[in-house]
Order: sequence, then C-alpha cells, then structure tokens
Amino acid sequence: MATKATAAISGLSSLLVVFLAYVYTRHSGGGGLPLDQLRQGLLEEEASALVAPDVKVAVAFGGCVDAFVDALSFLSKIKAGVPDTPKHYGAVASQEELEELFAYFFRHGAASE
Amino acid sequence: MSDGDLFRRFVEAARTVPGFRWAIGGNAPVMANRFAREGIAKVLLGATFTQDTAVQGLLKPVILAGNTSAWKRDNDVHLILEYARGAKWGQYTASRANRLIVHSDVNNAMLASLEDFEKDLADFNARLVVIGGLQMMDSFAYEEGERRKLLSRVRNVLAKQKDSTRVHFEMASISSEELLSEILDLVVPYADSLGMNEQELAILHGKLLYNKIITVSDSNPRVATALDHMRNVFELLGRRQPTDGRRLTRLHVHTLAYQAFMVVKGSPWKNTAAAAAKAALTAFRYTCASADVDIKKARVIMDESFSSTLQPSAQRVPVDPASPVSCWEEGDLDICVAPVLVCTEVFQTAGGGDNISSAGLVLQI
Repeated sequence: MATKATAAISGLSSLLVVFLAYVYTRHSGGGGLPLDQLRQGLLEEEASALVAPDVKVAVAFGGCVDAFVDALSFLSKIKAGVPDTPKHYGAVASQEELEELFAYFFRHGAASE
Repeated sequence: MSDGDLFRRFVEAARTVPGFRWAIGGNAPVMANRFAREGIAKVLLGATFTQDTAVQGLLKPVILAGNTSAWKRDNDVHLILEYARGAKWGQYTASRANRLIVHSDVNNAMLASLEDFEKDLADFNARLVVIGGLQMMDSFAYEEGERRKLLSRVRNVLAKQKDSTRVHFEMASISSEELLSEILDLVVPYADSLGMNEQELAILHGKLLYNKIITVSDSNPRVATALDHMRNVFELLGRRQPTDGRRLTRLHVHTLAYQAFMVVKGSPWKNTAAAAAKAALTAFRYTCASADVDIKKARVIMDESFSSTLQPSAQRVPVDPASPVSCWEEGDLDICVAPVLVCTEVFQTAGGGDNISSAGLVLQI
C-alpha cells in the first residue's frame, strides 16, 4: 500500500515539475531569460532617470510622406515575377530591377532604402 | 527609382492594396516626433512638407525651420514595402521582419531645408543637434562635385556649433563608396555621438578598417562582435580627427536583439544605463505600436550571458533579469548592453532605428 502511494506521489510530482517547466519556458526568452522579469527590470531602469526640462534639440534632414504597404501584396498587385537571380542596385530603373533588388534584401532580412 | 512616372504608378498601385497607410516620414521628422513624445521641450526640424502634412503630422513641440516658407506644393513619397519574418516569396524566405524603401525624391538629396535650418539654428540655442537622412544622397545623379559641396555646407554648420552643443549623427545604409568617404571626411569628425544599426556598424567598420563597403551583413550579430566593432570604430575614428573636429564620446548601436552603448568616461552624456533601457523598450513600443510592453507579444533573442569580446581576454557577462542592463568599465569607456524584448506581432519596422536612437538620446543630454 505504502509503495503504491509513494509511486503515485512521485508520479504526480514529476507531472507537476513537467507542468511548471512548461509554464516557465512559455514565458522565457531564447536562452531562458524570463520575459516578465526583464520587462520589469527594463521599466525600472528607464524610470530611474528623467528627461531634463527646457531642453531644446535641433534635427535635420529628410522630409517625406511614408506610404506603408505589405510587400507581398504589393508585388502581387503589380504582377511582379520572382527573379531567379537577386541583384543589388543603388538605383532602380524598371519593375524587373525592383524585383531583383527586393529579392536581394528580402532573403537576407536586411533593412534597406 | 530613376523613373518618376513608374514610381508614381507603383504608389497608385500600393494605395489600392488593403492595409495601405500614410504617415509623416523622413529620418528627421520621425526623430523630431520621438523627441517631442519623450518630453523634449522644443524641437527645431529641418525638413519640408506640404502645409497639411506639417500641421497634421508633427507634434506640438516641433517647429519647422523656416516656418511657413518650408511648406511646399507636393510631398516626397517613400514607398515602404514591409514583410514579416518567415514570409515566403517564390523560393525566398525572409529571415526577419523588415522592409525595402523605394522612392524617387529629389528634395531630400539636395538637402532642401539646409539654408533655413542653418539660419534658425543660430538663435535656437540647441543642447543637441542631430543630423540624419544623408542616405538620401546615395545613388542620386549629382553634377560634378555638387554632393561634396552640399556636405561641406553641413560641415560648416556643425563646425560653427558651440562646444556645449552636442552633435549626434545617425548613420544609414549607404552603398556609394564616395558618399561614405565624404561623410567620413565632412560629417562624422564633427559629431560627438554616432547612432547606427548592426548593418551600418559593419559598413562603417569595414570602411574604416579595409576601406571597402560591405553591402549586407549578419542580421543577428553576437554582442561580442558588435562590441569589438564599436571598440575599433572608437579607435580608428580617434586617429582621423581633424583639428577643428570633435572627439567621439558616444556610440549607440541598435540591433534586433540588444542595444549597445559606449560612452567615454567623464564626457557630458548622462544616465547611460537608463538610456539603454529606454532604447530597448522603445524598440518594442515602436514595432508593436504599443506604449504598453505586453510580454505575450514579445520574445528575447539574447542568451542568459554573453561574451564581452571575441578576443582571448573575454569576460562572460551574465544577464541579471532583475537588473537586465549590463554595464561595466573598460579603459576610458563605460559600456552598457540592454536586451530587447523583441516584438512578435510586428506592426511596423521602418523608422524603428530613428525612434530607438532618439529615445536613446533624451535621457543623456
């Protein structure tokens, strides 16, 4: 009787450990850093300093209107073909060149303009 | 794009795609709005817009250099093609959420707002002057020597600033060797502080070390690699100083996984750890378009510890979740690294760097 109870308890404990481990890893980072603690820590550090009052900042250049569109939907809309060879261009003169340029950066996940 | 008509047709096509939206843009306006949002009392902006866009798109503390004379008839449009991590196009897959920006504008390549900016700057008494958007000069068909002349004017504006006015230059992805050389000669030596992402760091590092441009680099570099590049940048730039230039005292590299800050000890930049935390949080807030940091929409890429350098002298730096910004001293540098809570439901990526860099500055001036 005692051994059966012990087995049951240790079985349940294992399940509990597995459950807790599952809950923990759901809320942690790539290497196991816990998200909620990180968030709290970052917020506290940010709040430890204040922006100085009456401060003036000057900033230049570049003024435009940004038109945001989903890349793949846009490419489909202009009936873009997927190129075999991605190419890097500084300036683009045709739709085909745009397709090659897009593939070049899309693949590498690099930001570009 | 060299074909303005084709570009206009692309914009028209984009407008019919569901989810299309407009927003005020350009490096400086985006930075100006972020400065204003974070509590900077007054922001002088060197940029030109239509009246409607200026009035509706800029926050109250932001004033346009030249005031109403900065208004123009048509805006320059930048088409931002955004894609998600894992998105598939034919045989290609995106390794991270990002975007390609296409435009055909001329005004920004000519630094149209320079004259008004210079004039208004004289009486503005700025604590900090920020220069960005110079990548608009990339791949533009200038007359012989025209671009160098424009950048020399920028140099003159920066050289005129008081010592107590700090200068920050925000790097961008540049493909032209010549433009990068000119920026290194005429702008970088007059900056106390530089901001850039991991690709721009690789470009700058490659240019300084090997005099070559690297076009695309690792989109997720190790902390040690970035820190080593930053150390080299400090050293290499330190050797190039012109007599009327400034000593580099601050470097902020913003990457997907972390924010890295290097500040010279004893320089006027304050609160580096808090600035690193704010920069990291702004990365989430901006890309997720949410002031509240929701961990259900976040992931962390950084490991529980990182190496301080690729050199044999490396120290293992553990990330303490309760105090996640890791700071230490190294020679005459204070170094801080903050992990980013990376947004998993990305709303926007374009403009992220500008927002992060500006947020990284406001606590330090």
